[in-house]
Amino acid sequence: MATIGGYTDNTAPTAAELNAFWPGCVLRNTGSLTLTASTLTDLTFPNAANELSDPLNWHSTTTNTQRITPTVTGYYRVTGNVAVNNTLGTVTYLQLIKVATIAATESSDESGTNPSGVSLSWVGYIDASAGDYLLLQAYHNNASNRTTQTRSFSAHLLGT
Amino acid sequence: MAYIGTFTSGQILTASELNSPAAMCVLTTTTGQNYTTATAAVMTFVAGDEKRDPEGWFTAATSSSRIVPTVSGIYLFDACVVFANNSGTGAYLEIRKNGTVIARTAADLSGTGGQSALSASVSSDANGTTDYFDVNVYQNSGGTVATTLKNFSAIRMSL
Repeated sequence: MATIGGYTDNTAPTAAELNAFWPGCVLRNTGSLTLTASTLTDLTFPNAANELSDPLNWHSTTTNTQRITPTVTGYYRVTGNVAVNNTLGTVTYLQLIKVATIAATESSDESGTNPSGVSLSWVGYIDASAGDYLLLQAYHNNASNRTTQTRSFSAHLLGT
Repeated sequence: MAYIGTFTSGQILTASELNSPAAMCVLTTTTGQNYTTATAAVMTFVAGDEKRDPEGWFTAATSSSRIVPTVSGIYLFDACVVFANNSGTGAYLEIRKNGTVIARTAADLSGTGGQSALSASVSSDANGTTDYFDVNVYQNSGGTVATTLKNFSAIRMSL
């Protein structure tokens, strides 16, 4: 099935292609992940149930389960969120990594006793032929380890 | 080339139009912008910061801070600022339409250590002529702080 990046002239898209027009990968993991204090932790999605949508197989549940590796070169919109159990007056941040570079970040300093959470979004270019991939990393600097309550990660191809 | 929002009845879309259906403006830079403490200022960009802008919504020579969509429609905006380490107790980032705040994210970054960053996203209408959008940023660390990353983008999602 053709998708953005794969259409050719003089070939009419099918209804199925138009109905799945924006190819993407949507991941969510409500399982607990330990975030070691003062350490960047990759957010992983190792279970099949974590893949809410992944028609082009940009994510693997067995290898580098923290990554989304798009197979089409183009511009993407990416979102990420992590909800963390009580961080008690410490810093939490979430960063989007494109290969080895920070592409976007959101941080907070939770001074109360409520659960914390950080979200980010980003629009940028992915070179699939170069093997570009994306991942999320979370950090907190509480004195002791904390755990995630839920974590989400998505990437949608906007155009080539 | 037509994009979502400019397609017309009876038009046969080319492969290029199907493969790049959304018009967008993507601005990003790691060049530092200094923010004076307790003084809000708009993010600025230069021509080389345009990673994609097929309809010319950003014109550095006219305004270094504004995205001005040229087609009426509904747009999705994303913005992010990352500061060098600072000890500000309050910071915010606003996405504004014609100078009026339409989205704000704020945080106490006093203990953020090596990372203090703010992100926001919002959808808005734009009239395609005079409406402009920018990003207003504030920090109150007590000193001047430079950015290490700035992102601002707009995507037309529909008419």
